[in-house]
Amino acid sequence: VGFSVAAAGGVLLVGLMVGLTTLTQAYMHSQQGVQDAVQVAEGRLLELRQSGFTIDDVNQANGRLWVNATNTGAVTFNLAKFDLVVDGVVRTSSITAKTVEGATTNVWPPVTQLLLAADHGAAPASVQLVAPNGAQAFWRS
Amino acid sequence: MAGNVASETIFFIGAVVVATGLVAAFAGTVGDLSQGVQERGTALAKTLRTDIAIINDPMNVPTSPLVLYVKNVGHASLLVVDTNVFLDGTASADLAFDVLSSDDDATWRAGEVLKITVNDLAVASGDHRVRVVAATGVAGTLEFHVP
Repeated sequence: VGFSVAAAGGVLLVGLMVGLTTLTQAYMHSQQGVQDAVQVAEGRLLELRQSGFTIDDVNQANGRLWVNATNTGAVTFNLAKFDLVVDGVVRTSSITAKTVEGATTNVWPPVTQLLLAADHGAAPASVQLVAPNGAQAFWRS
Repeated sequence: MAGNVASETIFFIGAVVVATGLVAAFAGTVGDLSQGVQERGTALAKTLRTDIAIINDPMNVPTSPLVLYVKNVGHASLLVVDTNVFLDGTASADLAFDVLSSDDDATWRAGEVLKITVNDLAVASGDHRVRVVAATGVAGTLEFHVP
């Protein structure tokens, strides 16, 4: 009888250990994924806090809109994912040129000036730039 | 003596079978728990990687019909069809979606702007609050005034 109880106990113990190991591995794997995502989210919030830019000037002439902006923050932006909103309507597809300090580029470093050109027929009442991380700047006439 | 050995053997086999059955049942439960933990972790991680922002100019929101521009400012793609809009707490049941500068209006990638046309909710004069909720549960809110 003792041998039978010991054998049954052994089977239960091995099963318990395998089960707990499986559960622990699943939890650790899950936690690792969540920790990675938390770091990404924290990085995104930090980047947003360090972002800043202003629209200095807007001009419209000959069917073309010119937007002058300065990167006043500590983040280098990718202009390929910037959006332009004119009079409440997204006009990103109208952008024809992006130059930073006179050079055509999609890289907008801190403390540099962006000159953005877009096709637009009338003088706007409001212009808005939106960065990939959600930071925004407004200009009103 | 032979009968005693036989009964011991039967008892031994019975004990091992019962223990194995318990372990099998336990293994099934542990499998379900492990899968649940992993699915929950994956969903939470995806929620943390996603974020959206309504980028309408609050002074100039198109209202006839209401048009919202929502930018995916997170690090993961979202399913457009699972997006919901609430105007002053009322859910819209008639939305039209357009991912700007993209041929694929089903997937809303990081950095892209989703244009949402709300066809069934009228926007009267006054103050309004609109809330857009994406597939992962992340939301963006905009308060605006209509003269």
